[in-house]
Parts: sequence; structure tokens; C-alpha cells
Amino acid sequence: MMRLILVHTQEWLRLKFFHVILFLSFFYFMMSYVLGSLSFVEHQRLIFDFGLAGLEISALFVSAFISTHALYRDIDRKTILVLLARPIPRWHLLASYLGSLVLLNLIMVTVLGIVLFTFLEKNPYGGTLFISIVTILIKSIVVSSFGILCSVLARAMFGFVITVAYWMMAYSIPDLQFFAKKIDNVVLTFFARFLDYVIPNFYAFNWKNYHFMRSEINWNDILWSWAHCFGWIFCLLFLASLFFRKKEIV
Amino acid sequence: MDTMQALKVNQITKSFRTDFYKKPVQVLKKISFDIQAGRFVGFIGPNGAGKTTTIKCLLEYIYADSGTIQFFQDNSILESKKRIGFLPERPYFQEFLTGTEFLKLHWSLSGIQNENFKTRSEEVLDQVKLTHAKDKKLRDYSKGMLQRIGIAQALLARPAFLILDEPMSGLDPDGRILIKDILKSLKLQKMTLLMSSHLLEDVDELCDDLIIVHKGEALYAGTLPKFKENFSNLESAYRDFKGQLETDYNV
Repeated sequence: MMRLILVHTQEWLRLKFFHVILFLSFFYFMMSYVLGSLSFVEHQRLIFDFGLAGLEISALFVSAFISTHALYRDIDRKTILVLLARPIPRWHLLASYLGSLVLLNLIMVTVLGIVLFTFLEKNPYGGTLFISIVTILIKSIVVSSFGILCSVLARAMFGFVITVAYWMMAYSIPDLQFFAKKIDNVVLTFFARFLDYVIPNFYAFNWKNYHFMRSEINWNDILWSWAHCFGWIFCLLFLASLFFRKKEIV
Repeated sequence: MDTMQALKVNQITKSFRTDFYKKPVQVLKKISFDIQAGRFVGFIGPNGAGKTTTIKCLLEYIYADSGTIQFFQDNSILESKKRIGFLPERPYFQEFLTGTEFLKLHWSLSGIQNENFKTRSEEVLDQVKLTHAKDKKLRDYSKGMLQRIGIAQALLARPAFLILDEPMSGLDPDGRILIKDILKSLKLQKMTLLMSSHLLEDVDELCDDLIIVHKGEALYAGTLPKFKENFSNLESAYRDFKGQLETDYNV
């Protein structure tokens, strides 16, 4: 399977979409650097906040787009027929997509992370910045797993939209719960609680900001959040494999 | 001649729903046929007759609504796939890979452990006459070369059963001759082949048996010499067969 992962990664590294996202991220970083230089006291804050937000959005788009289109592309080009003619269980293919997305995001996050570190001269928060970047990478794997599940069940573009919505919802659950509590609506409260069960809570470890950089690292929170994400990755991939077992490749 | 049964297809049916609210269309209607080991079988019929759908059912890309399929005496398709080589019609191969890298990918997916990749890949590349292009990227391959590397990947794991969907489609005369030569050499090795094709001349030249599908039904499944008994070639026999069919179906 490792070879298949490497071949997918090689293929996706050549995608124009990936190059465009990478270019836009660089552009965004440059903008944050210029804005940071114009500011006298908030130089680091701007670079951290803009830079990490840019990093997460780039990882989101790459993960959501590629994960929802990978299967569709392989079916459309009949590559999947050649691959599945081999004595491998179908879930191997989905696992290889996820493995390649991990590798692809790792490459992107490493490149952009190095740029971010370069922009931050005399950065005293290297450790927290590193944790923040790793968390972004793990979140992108959750998004990728959801995208793969969508690709098994829906058309590529629809899956992409749903995956982006999923990421947005994962950040909005506490707000939704707060709002439901304030207006005291039973249906909305139930809905918010339901979403809390079926969507991971990214808001709980939203560490891509300057405030987090300056606070002390609480390893319990970090490890819990990573475990939470890995739990979701496993569940989503398991569900995708279950549906993919009986999917008809027409 | 080896008389072991390589494939038994028993009464398979398959329907597709083109739209959620529309009635399902029955594409395969109780298709049955057997293939004996070591035989070359031509699988012919007009477009939309159900040839590719049958092949997809055989390899479980899609699932038959009813009926049974069994390769050799295997209990599961995963087990059978260790002994099957398959080349679909005009697939896309990763063009950034070289011929050898492409074969290496399929070698690793085949899970072969008791053989050396280098030796085996050189063997199949020689068999499909691509040794000179093994280090070339697939994007630099011609259509015929891509078809041959496709056959090479199908042969890599030493399959006992080869399934080719339109292997000559879109090839120039030279390409067709080369593929035919490869298939003839496989025939000498007693390989079992199921080849879907529109080219009656090729089927006539290569195959021992014939399966004709029409509107999802297997109308003929038997030996090729018997089918063309009173005719000079397959094409004339097929013309006659189709003429009778049109009378029967009142077309």
C-alpha cells in the first residue's frame, strides 16, 4: 500500500489546484508580513493570526478538494478498475487516499510552516507554534476522512461543499449551543446537542492564534484533542469503508 | 486438453436505475456460460449488449442482483483475483511513472513474495516487446505501447485467467498485430482468456470458443468452429446469425 500512497501523492503534487493553493498561501503570508511590518506593536500577532489562519484554510481546501475528487477521478479514468483487479480489499484504496492526503498536507504544512518561522524573527514561541501547526495537520486529516466518506456517497462537487460546511460546523458548535441556550429554543438546543455528537469539536482546540502562543502549554488538552481527532478519523474511515464495500463502480 | 472449469457463470441478472424516480433497466437477463481452462473465449455483441457489465460483475466492481459466479473452485473473489489478470478498455495509467515503476506498483499490490520483481518484470516486458521502453515515462508511450504495458501488468502475477476488454480498440494495424502475437504466445502457454471485442476477424483468428450477448442475454455459448460450421469465416456466420435473430425478434 505504501507504493500506492506514494503514487497518489506524486500525482496530486502535480495538480494545478495544489499549486494555486500553495501560491495563494504564500501571497497571504506575504500580506501578513507586510501588514505586520506596518504595525509597531502588533507585528508578531498579525503574522501569527494571519499566518496560521492561512495555513489552516489552505490545508482545508487541499484536503476537502482532493479527498472528494480522488475516487471520482479514478472511477472516471478507469484507473480504479486496474487497481481493484488486484487481490486487495477495497478499503485499502480509501486508506491509500488518506495516507496520500496526510503526506500531501505534511509537505504543505512543513513548507508553509518554515516560511512562517522565517517571517517571525526572534520568535520566543517556537514550541507552541509547532503544536499549533501539528494540530492544523491533524484537523486536516479529519477533514480528509470526512471528504473520503462523502466521495463514496455523493458526487465530487457536492461532497466538496458538504466537507467545507462540515469544517465550518466543527468550529460553530459552541456558538450554536450558546445561541440555543440564549433564545431557549428546544428544537435548536436538541439540534446543537445532536451536532455535538456527530461532528468533531474543532473549536475546543482552536489554537491558531497569538493568545494561545503566549499561554502555557497544557499537555492534557493537547493530547486529548489529538486523541479526539484520531477517534474521528478512525470512525469516518470505518464508515467510508463500510459503504465502499458495496459501492458499484459503474 | 485441460478440462478443468475456469469460470462458471450461472443465471446472473443485473438492473440499473438511471434515475431515482425511474424504473430500473435490466441490463443482464439471466446470463449463463462456462469457460474451460486453457481456452480462448471471444465475447462479442453489439454496443450496450452487456459485455462490459458482465465483466464488471465477474470482478465484483458491480454486484449481480441474482445468480452466481465462480472462478476455478475459489470461495471468494479476493482469492480468485490472485489468479486473474485484467485490462479494461482504454484505462488511464499514471503517466509520470516509467514502465518499470508502473509494473512495480502493480507488483506490490499483487502481494507476490516468492519471486524477484526484476526478473519477472524483465520477462513480461520482453513478452510484450517493451524492454527498450522500460525506463521511459508512460506519457511518452504511444497508444499501442500503453496497451502493451497494460497487458504486461495483467500478466505480471502469472495469472491463470486473463480478461481483456476490447484489447485492440483504437490501435493501428501494427499495434493490432503486436497484441495478436502476444495473445498467440499466451495461447501456447495454455492460458485461459476471455476477450471482449468488436473485431470479428481477431476473434476468428484467436479464439476457440465464442459467447454472443445481445440485449443482456447470452444467445450463443459454445465452440467457435461449431458456430461457423457452414461458413467460411466468423463474419459470415455472424451475419447469418444476426439475420435470423432479427427475424426472431421481428426487428
